Amino acid sequence: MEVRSNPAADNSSDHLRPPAVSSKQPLPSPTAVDTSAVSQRLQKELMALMMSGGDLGVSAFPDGESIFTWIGTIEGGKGTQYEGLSYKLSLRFPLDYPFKPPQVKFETMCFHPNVDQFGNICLDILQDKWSSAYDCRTILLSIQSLLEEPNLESPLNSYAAALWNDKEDYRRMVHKQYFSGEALES
Amino acid sequence: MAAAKPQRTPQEVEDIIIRKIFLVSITEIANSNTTTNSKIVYLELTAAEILSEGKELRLSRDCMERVLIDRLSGEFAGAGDESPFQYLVGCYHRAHEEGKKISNMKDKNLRSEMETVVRQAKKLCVNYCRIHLANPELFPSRGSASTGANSPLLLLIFAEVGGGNVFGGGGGGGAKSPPGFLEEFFRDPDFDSLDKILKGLYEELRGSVMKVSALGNFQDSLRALLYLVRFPIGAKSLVNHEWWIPKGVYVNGRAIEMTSILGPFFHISALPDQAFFKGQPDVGQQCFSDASTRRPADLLSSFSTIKTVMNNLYDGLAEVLLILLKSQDTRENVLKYLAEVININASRAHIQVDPITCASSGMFVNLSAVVLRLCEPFLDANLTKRDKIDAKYVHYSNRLKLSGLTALHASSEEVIEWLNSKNPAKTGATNQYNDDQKRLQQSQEASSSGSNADELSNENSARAEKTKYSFICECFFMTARVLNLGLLKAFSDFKHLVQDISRCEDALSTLKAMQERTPTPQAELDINRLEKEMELYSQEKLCYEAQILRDNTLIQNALSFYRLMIVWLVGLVGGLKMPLPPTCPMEFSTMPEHFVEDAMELLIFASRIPKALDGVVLDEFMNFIIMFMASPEFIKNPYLRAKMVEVLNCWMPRRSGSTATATLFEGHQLSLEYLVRNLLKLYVDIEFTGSHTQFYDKFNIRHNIAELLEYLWQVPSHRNAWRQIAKEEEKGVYLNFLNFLINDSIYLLDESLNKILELKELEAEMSNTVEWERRPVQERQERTRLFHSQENIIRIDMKLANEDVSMLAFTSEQITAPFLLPEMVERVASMLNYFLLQLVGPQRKSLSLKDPEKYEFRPKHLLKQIVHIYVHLARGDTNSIFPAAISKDGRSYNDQLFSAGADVLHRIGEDGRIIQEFIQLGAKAKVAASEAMDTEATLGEIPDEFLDPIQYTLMKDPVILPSSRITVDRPVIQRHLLSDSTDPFNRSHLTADMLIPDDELKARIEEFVRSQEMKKHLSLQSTKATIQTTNGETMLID
Repeated sequence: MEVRSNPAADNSSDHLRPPAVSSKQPLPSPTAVDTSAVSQRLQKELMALMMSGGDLGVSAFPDGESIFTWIGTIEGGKGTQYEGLSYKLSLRFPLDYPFKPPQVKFETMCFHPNVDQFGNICLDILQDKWSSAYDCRTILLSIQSLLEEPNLESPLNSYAAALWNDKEDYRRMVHKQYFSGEALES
Repeated sequence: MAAAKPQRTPQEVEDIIIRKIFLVSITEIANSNTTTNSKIVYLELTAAEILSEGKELRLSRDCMERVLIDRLSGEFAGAGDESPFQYLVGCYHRAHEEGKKISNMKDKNLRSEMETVVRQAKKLCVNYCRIHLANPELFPSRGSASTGANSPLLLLIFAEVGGGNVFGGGGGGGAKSPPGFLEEFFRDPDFDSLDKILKGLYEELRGSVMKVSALGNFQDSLRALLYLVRFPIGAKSLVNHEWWIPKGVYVNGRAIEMTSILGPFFHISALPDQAFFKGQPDVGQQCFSDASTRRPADLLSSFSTIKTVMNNLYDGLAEVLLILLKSQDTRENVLKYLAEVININASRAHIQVDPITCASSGMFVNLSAVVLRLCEPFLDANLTKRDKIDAKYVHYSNRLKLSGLTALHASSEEVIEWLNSKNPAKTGATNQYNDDQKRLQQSQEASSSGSNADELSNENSARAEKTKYSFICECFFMTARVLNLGLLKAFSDFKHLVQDISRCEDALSTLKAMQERTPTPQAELDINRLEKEMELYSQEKLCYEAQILRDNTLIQNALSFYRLMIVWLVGLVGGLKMPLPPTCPMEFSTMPEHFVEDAMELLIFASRIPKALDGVVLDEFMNFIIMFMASPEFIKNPYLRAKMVEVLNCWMPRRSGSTATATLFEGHQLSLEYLVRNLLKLYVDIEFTGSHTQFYDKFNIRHNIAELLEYLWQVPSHRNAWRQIAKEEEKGVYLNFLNFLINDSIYLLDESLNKILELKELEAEMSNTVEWERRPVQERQERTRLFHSQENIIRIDMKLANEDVSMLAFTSEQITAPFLLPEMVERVASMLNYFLLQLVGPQRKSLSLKDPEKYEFRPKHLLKQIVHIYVHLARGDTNSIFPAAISKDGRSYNDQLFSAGADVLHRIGEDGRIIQEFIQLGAKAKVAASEAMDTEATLGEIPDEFLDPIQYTLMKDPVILPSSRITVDRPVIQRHLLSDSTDPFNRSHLTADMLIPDDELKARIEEFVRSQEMKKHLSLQSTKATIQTTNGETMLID
């Protein structure tokens, strides 16, 4: 009997991040009536985010012309190991959003106990604790909180988890991966 | 001289006989005597004593003992190298020979007298053998003659039980025991004189089989053990041996295996063991090394040999235990021994078993086979003795530690509470107990809950009145435990071994592929290491096969036992009848979970062994599975209920190749009535297993359910049952089933299609040879490993997705109403649109693969199925709501979607009628889209309070959520509740019947819609007025 394993659990080792896989959805016809419930909800969320500005350090906007794939940005919190850094994330919305959570990944290399080499994030509200009342803003704010308050008990990056208590080395590694990731992408 | 012979006096005859038996003389041996026997010894002291007493120099029965003592005590030159024991046995033998001569005597009186003499001589020999063996230092002995204190006796026993085939042994060679000697030796009312000797023999037998494997010579020792145990005194001595159950702080499972008298016998096995304890010869190495190069006939011969010798061992040990169990004197000790072995090895139930502290798999598989033989008397076809099995044994027995085990549907706290409630008369004791409980809990705050529960249960058990349980009851529960730790554990180990082999093969082929491209010394070393590892694994696997898989008797005996188990368990819930009682009886829910789990595991394992189920009656198992598969109120563990589905998967006619199992599905009354319903219910329940891996686990479980459902749909009676359920449970179980089926389809297909894109990118990366070679070796290995991992995920996800889409296709042909419910129709439509777009839209080519079949990806077939679902639902859409749902999907739907689909369908050769219906549906969707556009224009800007907060659509049927007080649209919240029974805004419990209609808001929304429509109407009127005014102006100009 074939057993489907949790792919995130297999990627706990720390390796160089591969180039991001972009799978843009084909464009709907411009003449089509865009009355989908999903797109209406997403448009509302987008408007709310734009009106709130960047005061909380998170923002997001559709990537390209499709409203179903967004790029989000999280600023490292003031006074945290990630202060001064800006991380890009991809948010991909499934067919049955908001009844199912979006797929969220770091596009910028992020050194963190709960983030693997591919940018996958281990966060309960993106998995079994998802609720249809959540939205992009709450997701991004939760991830921002996760940066400073990792869950060390189930790490995806065990090296980061082990290093967490050594603040100086940890911050050095954060910056190293942040900038080397930039170099890879450029 | 011939004349003198008849005239011998009886005393003279007696003298001659005694001298012949003991090879002694009390007269000087004349050198000239032609009849001199060099072994005859002159007993000078005895002669002197007789003379001093004034008697004639003649031997008689009265002085036999004196003669014997003198002979044994003295150091006589002529005695040769015989040990005292050998001498005594020789005397007994000669006595036997003389006895035969005496029986020919004509003089009755003389014969009778001489028989007495011989009998007395024999008895004397036996007594002095005992004395000597118990006190070896008492009589002088030539050291070289004996290898151990008890060896001579053991050699005689081997000769007795070995049918004359004695191998090796001590200096005595192959001397046989004189007839009757051993019987006389061991038949004596005086326990004490023999006890020490017997205990020594048992220790020696134990030592002789220590470190012996199935191919070693244990047969003689086993037969000797059986021989001794048949004597009442032998049985008693065995169970009173201090090593019958070794005591001590450091006695663990392995220690009891190697140290107890019977332990090394049970250790004899063909199965793998830890290196230090492993038996010799090494079975794997001797029979199965380089198995691929051996002739099939040789392998079969090895299998047969191992099976034969192991069954001899099982039979022998079972007989030993049976003999001990039949006697009142020894039964209790046997039960204590078995219980001790079981309790001390409880940690064998863990996935990782410590081979230093736990007994070996070999021991427990042997124990399994043996206890199954002990069960035979009550495993009759009608299970007539099952009422002797008392479920209270689990809670009150002082023998086995059962109360710490996970129960079917009760936590340890619930069990204790229930047991307390069964003793209401002891209120005072209960109160005191509660105080004790609190104190104990406080003192054990740091200990594990399991340990805590065990302590509490033990205390409770001690408090209960002592009950005497029948042997059948004790044997039943011991067997259940032994099988769990033995046979079932071995199945589990075998399964892991097979997985290890598979993983090794994958790693090996990957390394070899890499080696071909870029040879490195490290890879070469890795390949060699893996190949050695593979060889060992292969040997181990064949050992398991030889001892367990090919032993049909063992498997079928176990099946008989578990048939009794499930019939007995069914009795605890009131017998075979459906539906089950509303509440689960505590007698059932407090039974150990592994009783059921082991039964299911055995059925799965046996179903995969050819012919293992031949002749086995499976109806009771089928009854049990159907009763409990979808009953979380009776069996709490969802994984256990999912395992029942696995059993059914194994029995499906298509897989088992057996028409016998087909009747279980197609001719079984309970099956026809409940099977489909229960499978659908389990499909829903399995969404929440409680485990942190539940999201992924459910796919495997649902795959098994889907296989069964696909088969059952093709059986007319089950299909009819299915349609009936869909009608009755349109908004209940069936709706939930459909919801999760769609959830899975979306997730799996979406995931696999996206991973195909990722895989192609990885592939491109690896095929750029120059860039690829530039990377470090370790990184390349990592990327290669990732590539294969992705391949595997795609294949599995795609296979599961195909299965789900197929189920949607075949069920929608005859069952459409649930798909078209308000809370379902839009997501069904958006799912279909999305898949259609992937398959026929602009991105289609990016999904092309060199070898799509490798990943179970069949786009043409998939497209046909998607289209069939569209058409089936269109046929059933009596209210014409489906086209609107199709066009409402703003993500995937567009004007060209259906025409593009039709083009592809024509090319791949779909049925014209289907294509026509599909095109018509597309046209209707286009019309619906146009109408929706008009509607939106009419409504204009909608106030926020009229928008559903989850989907931001205009509410039509607003309802208030009772705990968060937020108002949402009914179809939206009902869709949410299909997957999650909570309020999405505060996570508190929520069900559909808790929704509160918001009639006031509904009225306002309807008013808003009417007023917007009215405004539109007035706008039209205003336009007409403007036109008329223009006409007026024209007339003025004229």
